[in-house]
Amino acid sequence: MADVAPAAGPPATAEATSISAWGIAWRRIRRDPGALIAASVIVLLILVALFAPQLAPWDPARPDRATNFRATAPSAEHLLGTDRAGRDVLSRLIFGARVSLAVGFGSQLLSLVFGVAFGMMAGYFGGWIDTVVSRVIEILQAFPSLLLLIVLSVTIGPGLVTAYIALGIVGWSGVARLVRGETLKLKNSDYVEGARALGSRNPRLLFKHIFPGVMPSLIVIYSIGVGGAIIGEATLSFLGLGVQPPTPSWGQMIADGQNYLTSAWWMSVFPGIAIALVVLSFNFIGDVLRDALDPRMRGQ
Amino acid sequence: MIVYVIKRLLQAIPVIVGVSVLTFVLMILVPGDPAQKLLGQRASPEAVDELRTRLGLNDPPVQQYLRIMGNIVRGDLGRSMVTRESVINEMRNRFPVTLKLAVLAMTFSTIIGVAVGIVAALNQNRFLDRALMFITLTGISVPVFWYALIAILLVVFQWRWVPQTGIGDGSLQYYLLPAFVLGTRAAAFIARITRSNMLEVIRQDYIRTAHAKGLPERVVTYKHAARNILIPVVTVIGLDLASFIDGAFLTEFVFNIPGLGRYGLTSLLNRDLPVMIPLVIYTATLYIIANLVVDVLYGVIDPRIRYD
Repeated sequence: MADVAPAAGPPATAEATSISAWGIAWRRIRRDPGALIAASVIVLLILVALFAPQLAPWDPARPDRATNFRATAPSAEHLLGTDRAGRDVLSRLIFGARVSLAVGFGSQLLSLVFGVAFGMMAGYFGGWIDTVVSRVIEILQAFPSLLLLIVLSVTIGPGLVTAYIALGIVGWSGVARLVRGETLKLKNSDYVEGARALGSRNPRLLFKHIFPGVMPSLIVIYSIGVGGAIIGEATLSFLGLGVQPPTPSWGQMIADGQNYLTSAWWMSVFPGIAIALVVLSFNFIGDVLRDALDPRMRGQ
Repeated sequence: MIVYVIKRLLQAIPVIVGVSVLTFVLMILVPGDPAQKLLGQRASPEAVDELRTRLGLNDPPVQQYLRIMGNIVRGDLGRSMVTRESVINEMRNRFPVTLKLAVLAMTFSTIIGVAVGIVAALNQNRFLDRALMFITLTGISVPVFWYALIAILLVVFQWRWVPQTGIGDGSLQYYLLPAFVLGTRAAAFIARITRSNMLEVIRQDYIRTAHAKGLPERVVTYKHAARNILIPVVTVIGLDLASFIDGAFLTEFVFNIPGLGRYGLTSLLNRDLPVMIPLVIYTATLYIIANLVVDVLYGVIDPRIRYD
């Protein structure tokens, strides 16, 4: 079951340097029934996304002729009903999980890589690098995130890649600000001073000594970030700026159903429940991990 | 404190300039020629080029940027490319609607959030606390636009408490549901912070003293403890302002409320540049100023906080 930790998504380089943070995280999740349920939901969903073609009872893009290309209520044939084109809602949900998870994990990985790189550089080297990075962070954080997300999507043009880039850019500044702050604190701490006195050079200090110190906060921010990115992707798709049809995504499914709320409520209701459940799981794990790993961030 | 406010205002200027430059650059990169869009696909290249010159789109980018910023500062925003309505008039007409919605939502979320937070803290780790914290986490995890749709489905269509979406004749009853929807996320957020701060406060010495001198539980809780959680609550409202603005955009959009949020979102989706640029810059500026106000408020609420 140790494969649950990667569900919270480590960057590949992290594992070797911070076994302890992951150890603490995993021990904490195992002890908390709620966190265990949340972790199971995420693992289950990853499996569903991976094996979507095997699991989906119907072709998500092709209407079932028996429905006469109409929305039909949930039945034994179509467990969650069909949409107004007669396509199976459950199958579309299963395939939609791929988009949500891929964009959620992927975009936040981008945020993490860039946030860590720039945050550590700014915090460690100070000077003009810090000034430039800090100003850019300030400007990006001055935008309400949805606004920036939409502006970026309109500029780059709607689509899957856009969703990755836009959500990555939006999340990057938050990570960078956090990492910069932590690095500032750590670079003058006794153990880093000690390592420096023993002759460690900058790269070694940064990656061997400072990065592991930043790691716990990163695990927390990543878990919560993935949840936020899944909502962000759904919002973009809802507005028609995300993944384009025929690829099904949850936000798009909600948008499809919004004009048929009274006649075909199942079109919008089920995808929303799916989003809420996944995001709740990520937030729950994030909360538990925060308490376990980073007492200073508690309650935020 | 005045020095502090002036210093913060001065620091905000480069950020606002940065925001406007970034917005302008992104807008220039938006695919499609605005002049072509205005004249339609069948317009002759000469006509398009002439309009481009007239609109100043052939000028160097720096000149365009300076002109647009000059107009924005003067409040002269021109006309929408889609509706041909004066942008500043539209904004003026829509502002009261959004303000009303925002004030209602803020009031609701603060009252509910603080109450839930205190109740949860007083029942720490008991079932009620766990249940409330789970509910608030759910409130944070649900996508606003979906939540708005579900609220409409149930309240408007199933229970028929409100006759329709939109603002009807503008009376309060039309605002209540959207304000509730918009305020839910903030309420959940405020409740969580209130709880953790309340937990911190009730462990303080002066609370123990108040208990020791025999004051009733109620007085200790509401007079001694609750007062000191005001700062965190103000902080949270500041911190959460960005999601609040995001939420307002989406709530107005789904509820069909003719406010700034719906106007802005529609313009963004229509790529209506003359509306988008000022709107994004105004919103970001508003957000920066609101953060400043929150910072200054700390000092008003808590004289222990010093600015230097």
